[in-house]
Amino acid sequence: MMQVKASFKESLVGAIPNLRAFAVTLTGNVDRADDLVQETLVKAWSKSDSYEEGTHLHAWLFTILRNTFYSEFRKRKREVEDTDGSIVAKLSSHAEQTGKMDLLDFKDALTQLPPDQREALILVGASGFTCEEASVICGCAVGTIKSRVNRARSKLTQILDVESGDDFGPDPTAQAILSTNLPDAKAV
Amino acid sequence: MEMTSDEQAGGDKSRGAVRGKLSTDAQDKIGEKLRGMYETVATEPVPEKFLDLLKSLEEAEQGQKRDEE
Repeated sequence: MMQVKASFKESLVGAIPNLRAFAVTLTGNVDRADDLVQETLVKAWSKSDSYEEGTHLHAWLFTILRNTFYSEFRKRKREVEDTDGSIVAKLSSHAEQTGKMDLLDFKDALTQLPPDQREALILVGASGFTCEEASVICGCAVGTIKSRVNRARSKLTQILDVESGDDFGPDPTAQAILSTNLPDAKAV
Repeated sequence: MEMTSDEQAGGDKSRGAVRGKLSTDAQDKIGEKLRGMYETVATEPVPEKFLDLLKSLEEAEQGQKRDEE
């Protein structure tokens, strides 16, 4: 039993990089993301009995993480609704002025998507899950995932005012921006 | 037939952002940007605090088992 738990622990460690990447893209905030990962690990540890060996561990952990995120999100919902419109307006005008999308814009734009669309886009577009797997993680139909991904792409394009590949230059500052904490979107 | 606010908003802009008619370029670039952001975090080493956390969870459990015996 002890050995089973030890190998479970190793698997958890192996999943942490992906959990963090999911959490950072989902929340747009490294500190919040790490809090989420921490909660996810604690929950996973205490629920390890309900994990079935041989099933997709990452999917199981992602499910715990997104459920944790949503229960927190519901608490913050009013705050988010209050600021949503003004940020979108600000971002759009910024994109028009510069005609160029940098990583800061992208990260903010991602934060402005409804969370269900953002989540679907990340799971399918970056985490490498199939739409079927994403539908299990999110507890919805496959078609719902597909339509959320489409709407997310469409909305991102609108917010960022992307018309062609020319809008995206090389991004030398990407690493620097990501390694520091961006101001929380609510503070804008 | 469900019509969400997102879909309605999609009809307002014509430049490359119409739902279902996104340019492949724009889609590719969005995907690239997203994966870049994701991979930057995913390739960072596991922060020590998470290893410590798992270690303490493990130790707490082992301590508990010893107490029960």
